[in-house]
Amino acid sequence: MSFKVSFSVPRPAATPHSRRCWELQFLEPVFSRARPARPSRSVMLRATSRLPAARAATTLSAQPRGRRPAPRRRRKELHFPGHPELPLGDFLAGRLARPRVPAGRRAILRRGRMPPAVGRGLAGSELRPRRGRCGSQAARAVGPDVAAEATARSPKRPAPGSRRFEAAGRWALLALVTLMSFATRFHRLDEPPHVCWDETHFGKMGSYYINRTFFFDVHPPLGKMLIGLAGYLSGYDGTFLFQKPGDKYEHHSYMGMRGFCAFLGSLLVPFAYLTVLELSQSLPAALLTAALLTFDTGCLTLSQYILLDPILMFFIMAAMLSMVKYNSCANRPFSAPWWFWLSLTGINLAGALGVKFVGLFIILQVGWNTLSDLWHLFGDCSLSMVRTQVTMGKHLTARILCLIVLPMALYTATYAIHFMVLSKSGPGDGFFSSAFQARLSGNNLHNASIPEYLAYGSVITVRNLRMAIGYLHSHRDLYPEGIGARQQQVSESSVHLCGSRAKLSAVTEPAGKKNPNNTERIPQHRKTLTSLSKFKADKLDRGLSNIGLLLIVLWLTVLIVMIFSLPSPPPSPAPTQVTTYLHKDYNNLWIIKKHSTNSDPLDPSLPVEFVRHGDIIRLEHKETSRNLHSHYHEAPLTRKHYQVTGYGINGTGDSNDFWRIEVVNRKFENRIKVLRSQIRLIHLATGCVLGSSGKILPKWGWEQFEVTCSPYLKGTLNSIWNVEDHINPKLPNISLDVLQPSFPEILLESHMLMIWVLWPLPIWWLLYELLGLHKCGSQISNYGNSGLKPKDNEFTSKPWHWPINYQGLHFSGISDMDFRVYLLGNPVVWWLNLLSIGLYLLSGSIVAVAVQRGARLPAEVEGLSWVLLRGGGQLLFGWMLHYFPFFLMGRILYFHHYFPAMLFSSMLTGILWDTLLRLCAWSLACFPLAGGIHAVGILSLLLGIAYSRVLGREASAQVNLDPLGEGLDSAQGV
Amino acid sequence: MGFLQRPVVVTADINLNVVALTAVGLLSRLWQLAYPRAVVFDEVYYGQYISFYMKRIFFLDSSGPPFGHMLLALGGYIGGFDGNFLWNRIGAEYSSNVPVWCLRLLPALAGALSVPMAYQIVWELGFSPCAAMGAALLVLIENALVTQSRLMLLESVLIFFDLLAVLSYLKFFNSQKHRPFSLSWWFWLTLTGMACSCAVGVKYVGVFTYLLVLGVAAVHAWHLIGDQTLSNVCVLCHLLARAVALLVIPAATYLLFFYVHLALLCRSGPHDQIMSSAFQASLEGGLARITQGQPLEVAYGSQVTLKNAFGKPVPCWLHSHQSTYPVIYESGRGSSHQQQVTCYPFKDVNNWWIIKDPRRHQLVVNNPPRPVRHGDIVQLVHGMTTRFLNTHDVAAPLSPHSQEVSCYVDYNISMPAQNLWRLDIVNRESDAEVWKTILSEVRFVHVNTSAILKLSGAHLPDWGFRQLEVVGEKLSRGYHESTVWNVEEHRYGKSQEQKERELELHSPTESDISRNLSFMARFSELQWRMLTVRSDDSEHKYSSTPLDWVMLDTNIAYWLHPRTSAQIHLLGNIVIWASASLATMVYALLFLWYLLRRRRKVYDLPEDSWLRWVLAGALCAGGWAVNYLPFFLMEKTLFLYHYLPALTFQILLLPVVFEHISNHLCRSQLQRSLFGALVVAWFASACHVSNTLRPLTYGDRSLSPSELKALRWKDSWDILIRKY
Repeated sequence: MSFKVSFSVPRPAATPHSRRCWELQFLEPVFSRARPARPSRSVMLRATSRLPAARAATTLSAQPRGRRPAPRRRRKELHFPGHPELPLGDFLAGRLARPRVPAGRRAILRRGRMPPAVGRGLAGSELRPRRGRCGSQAARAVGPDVAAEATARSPKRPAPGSRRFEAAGRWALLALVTLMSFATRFHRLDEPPHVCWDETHFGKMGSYYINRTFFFDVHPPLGKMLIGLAGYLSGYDGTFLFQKPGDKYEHHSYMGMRGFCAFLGSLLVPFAYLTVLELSQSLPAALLTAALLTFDTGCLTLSQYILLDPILMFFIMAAMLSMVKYNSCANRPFSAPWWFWLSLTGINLAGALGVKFVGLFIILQVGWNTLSDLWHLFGDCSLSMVRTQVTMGKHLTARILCLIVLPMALYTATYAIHFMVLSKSGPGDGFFSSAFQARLSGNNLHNASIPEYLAYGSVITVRNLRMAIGYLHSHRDLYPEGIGARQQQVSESSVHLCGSRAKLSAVTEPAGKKNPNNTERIPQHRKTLTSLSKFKADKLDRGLSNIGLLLIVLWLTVLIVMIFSLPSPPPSPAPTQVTTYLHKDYNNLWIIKKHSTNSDPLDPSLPVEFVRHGDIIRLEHKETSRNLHSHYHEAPLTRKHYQVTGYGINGTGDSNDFWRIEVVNRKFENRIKVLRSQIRLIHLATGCVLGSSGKILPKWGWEQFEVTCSPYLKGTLNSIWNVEDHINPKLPNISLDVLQPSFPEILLESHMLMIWVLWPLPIWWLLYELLGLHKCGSQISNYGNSGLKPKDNEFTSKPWHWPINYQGLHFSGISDMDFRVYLLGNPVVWWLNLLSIGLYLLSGSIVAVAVQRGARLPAEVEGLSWVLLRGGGQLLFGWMLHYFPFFLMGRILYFHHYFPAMLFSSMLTGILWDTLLRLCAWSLACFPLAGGIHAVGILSLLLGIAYSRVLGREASAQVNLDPLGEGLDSAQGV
Repeated sequence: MGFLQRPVVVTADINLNVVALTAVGLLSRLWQLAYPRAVVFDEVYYGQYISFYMKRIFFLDSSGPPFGHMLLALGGYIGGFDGNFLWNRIGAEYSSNVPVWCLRLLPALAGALSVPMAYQIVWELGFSPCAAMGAALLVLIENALVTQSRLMLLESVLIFFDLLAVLSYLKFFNSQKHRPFSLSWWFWLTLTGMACSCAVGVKYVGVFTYLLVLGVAAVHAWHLIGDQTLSNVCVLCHLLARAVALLVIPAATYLLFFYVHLALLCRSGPHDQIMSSAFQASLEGGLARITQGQPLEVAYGSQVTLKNAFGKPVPCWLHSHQSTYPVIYESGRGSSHQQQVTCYPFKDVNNWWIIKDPRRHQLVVNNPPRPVRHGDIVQLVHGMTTRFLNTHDVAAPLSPHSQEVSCYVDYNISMPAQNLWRLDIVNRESDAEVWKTILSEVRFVHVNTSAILKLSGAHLPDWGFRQLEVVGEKLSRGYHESTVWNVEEHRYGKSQEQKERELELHSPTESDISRNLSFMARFSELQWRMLTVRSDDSEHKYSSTPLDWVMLDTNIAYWLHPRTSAQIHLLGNIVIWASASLATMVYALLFLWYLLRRRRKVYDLPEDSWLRWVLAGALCAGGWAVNYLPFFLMEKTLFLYHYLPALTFQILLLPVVFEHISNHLCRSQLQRSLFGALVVAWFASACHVSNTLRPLTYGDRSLSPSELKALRWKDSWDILIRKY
């Protein structure tokens, strides 16, 4: 025993705390006493400590000599004990060979086996202080060492051929897994030859990149950019319209894009395989995981179409894999592989976030892992305080560089490319500020010029700062009976975005849309006559008293007279409706005037007078010559706010027309700069602030947005406006290019837009919404595209539906005689996953309690439970991170949101069953065939999964769409 | 005869501090309790529920479980309130039948008792009596807490139970060390569970404190598991006792609240409509009067009204009327031009449908009645027009992806009637179950197209009289309440002729049957509705965001005297608020510092004072965090008073941090004395502020406009100044 103590050389750098406890319990007293000094490679020592002395001597004797043999042996030692070499060997060569292993070796295997993870996994990283390679590569390259180890350890040396055989076996296995995955994903990739499900959005966005037309989407651009790139490289010319699901591709080349997605989707399987291998060091576990994913119909279906999901999942899995790999390099900080994997983690994080905001979850996971990593490093007392500070500083800097700075730079870079590529005016223009639009060629603001500072007499449009709400607008229609004063509406209109709003947009279209930038178009709001007669009918319906009716008819007559014989002033100032409106038209124009005088400020004899912060002004509607007006009347929809109307005749109103103009961001002195100054309009008489409530007015208001005057002076974006168009002949024009936003501003604007688009929710929920909604964003770019959308036909699913595979998603073929694709997981796989999570929680807590109670576990069990707790714990954490946040999310969720979580849960299943079966085999060790339990169990699981896939295929031949069936009967269907 | 040999001794340990604190607490909270004899702020809201309790009328309040309301109502019961007061506006004078003092008594008592409890908590945390006294005094002079507890509001009750839960857990934890399984150990453990469930029962936010206590208990239990001096059995007993006391007892108590609530409220009232027919039928009056004595089993020939189970946007009944769908809709699509089928939110004779057997012609019930079972094919005949419920491959008016549902009119245009429906009882126990009135939830599956009868929730335009659209949903997978219907009114049809039948339909239903839902069914329905009913979030003048709370950037004007400028505000003692926030920050920084140092094996604090420091942080700083941070995620309108529970915990942390600084960070005696003097000065200023704000707390003194202006220390405070 004392012999071994002398070998306790370099102490592992950051041995986890709990592991120390275990060591204490399991090592001989001598050894544990040696610990405080700088014990080392405890694994090996421990392993050997129980061997007969002679064998131990052979093992160890080589070590002190020469550097070269040592690392190799160490690795060997480390891997061998818990590790896949044996299972692999057995697995490939047939488990039956095992009993023939000589007794001595079996003793090593059984008792000497170290906790695998201790040996190699997360914590084990420190155990190979100077090894040239990282654990990751080691996992693959481990083959040769196995044999070497065997030679060192066992008296009966296997033939050198077996070493090569095993190495080849490992590679072959990986190749096999990859091949299977590719084969399944690429099989009949070209079918169906028409647009499936969301291909209509993402394919279209890919085309936008190829055509370089600007669009807007709530997701970051990377995924769509990659799709576009794939299409571009494969010869797709961007001419296909992707109008609706079911459109035939015909001669257009779509296979490039599908192939790209399928390629990334296929890589998921080898990634999962390698991750599990790294975490558990067990080949069967990795194989099981690979089989689960290969044979899962859901993963398969999702990888085969032009969607963001395969790209997203690719980056998530790649980030996970490189994180795990980098963890296993932790013993050799600042080596090349360490840097490689660390920066690769960062790159993949940027990729994940750049595709969808769901990438945030994997960032959280990596962040948590990094924190705990640093915490362990910090607690390593073997170094002096000073050295720790230096090391810690280096570690911290490296991580900040690779995990924060690098991803952020890349993420920003994707946006830079995005804005660079999309240089032409397109469907997304209307969502952005005019300053931004000025960048886009083809937009009418491109190369335009306007006066810079606001002066009295300027004709302006005023835009709400909250995105997608629009310009302050007025038209001649009146507020209907019973809604405040019957004065001219002030409201806002906008593109309607999601759900119900999308429907409304179709209705609004005739009134407004066409081309948002078309200033020439005069809206059809002037149908005063029709609307008036409608009011009349309404009133008749309501059965007003005759006198009232008479009065109203009289009044209406007056109004009509007033409107159609404008020159002659009507007897009383009849106030009309005011609204707001996203699209540009004449009714958005307002003239800014001094409150006191009604003289024409454009009179060339008067000097130019700029409007300044705090001035009292009047806003006169250019078309109707009425003043923006508010009074103590409840607003039509938001009852607690005051109504805003257009009032007065030819600019003559009353004191309720006066507004104080305030500049919120006063960095351009007190003057008001076009596009840049953020202004508030405070009503002088009531003290309320002009804002848009964001609610949609009913038909009488043309379904534009309501404008109110809010007595609650809360500084929300709803009540902040900026000046966009600006016409003033007395002022010199400047080119809009001067006002063009800088890149950071564009970045900020597009992100703000992503948030505000999902308006009706409080800000804290928006983030979640962003993660959950891609429909909405896509809706925006094609909101004009009415028609049947198959997804309208489905109930959106609830998060609890997902793990139980409750109902799937129709990808294609909603009509009867059609090629049908239905996204649904393989029930065997999914239910196995679900069961595994339950089992994991159970077994994990049993193990944890046992450890906490200080139970003395045999070495093998200890190793297995370590894999279970550390490796499995990480995967469980990943699953929870990618699943539970969805419960907090608002409304629109779809089945496919679960798939990232499903990847994690499949990996967990692999590790869990492998570990459980090993434990089972161990506990039955007294029976001769016990060792077979593991092999048989794994094999039967593999076969079962594969068989279920075959079954699924057959079942899918008759896709059964019984409306009452809960839908477990159809897999990917043809 | 043992007692003869030894004298009977009663030893009483009375902590005069506690007694004194209780006395001043009572004094501060009960003084002039009945004073503004007018409705103050949210009293207008809670008052109506008290009236409901007094009149025993059923109501549904989605803001919280009923225990808090019941406590307030208990005050009304003690004072002999008859519930006759119209709670319609803030500032209305109470009529003479309202026992204001009694109604406000319970919240005030809860507020007063919080003062000695603050003392006890800090004491039990292991800090000096001086620190404990400080904590209690701070709670005593915190103006916002005083205001809130003197009115008929629930926050002070919630704070009381929060503190009680923490205190009793600490007592339990301290007795754990010495005498596990003793009587007091059991008492405090059980009390912890009870107090937790009471806190949850008063307001849902109480659940955060409950989770905190559970979390701390779980950590302690985990340590217990690691304690190898205990036997396995002993550990198991400990765990079981905790599980029972902290999980089972709270759940049972929570159920008990609802049991009492439902037992008390037995009459139907204005909120019935939201509930299911079965629930409504279990209340006295209302629907029960109609459905009382209906036949239970629906038979062929039954006349029924069918209510949709979804109830959104409004509860409604399947309806049809003479009008037909317009030939061309506004959108340009066409319709079948057959008779409209809608969902109508009012009782109407056109809501009656007759269940017909497709194989027979008669529309009356046989003798004996032939009940309809799950899976049977039926036809639904509209009572007044005798047309058949029909759906076909025509797009519905507002939901073009669904099928139109109509009452079939034969226009001889090759559009045959498709009026067979298969009955699917959702909540069946066996496949041969009979369709029952009220109890059965059924779906109608169209035989030809497999569409399901569904309420789409959209309002039809004027041609449909603004009624709700009913559609046939194709391919609908899964269960959704909008496809589920139940029979509400029911009678066996007797008249063969259409004229007679119309007369029969117009006549009220009769015959007899009584139905009682089990308590659990009623509970789960009520609870579900409470959690899902969304009151539309309205903007309020005094609403604020959580960020405004920490530094007291906002206030709420509670009441203004109708003539003078005496007024009550919810306005905190700003010195206490600011320093409590500061203390939390100091605590967090110090804790992090110590933690990092300990990681490097540098132990600045002795082990026991470190443990005390951690426990105090977990309960006080943790209590603040769990009661504050979740508000960032809440959608509802938030007010300053939501912060009060968090504030209370923060105040408890204040003396803890002071004592820690004085004991561990002040190195010399001189520093310690200096620090002590600083604390005393600080406390004096807090008292001064509290006294200055007193007129706004009690509203007993009318201030001049200049005085009021002087009190407006922050621009964001809204203090009401009368313009004369």
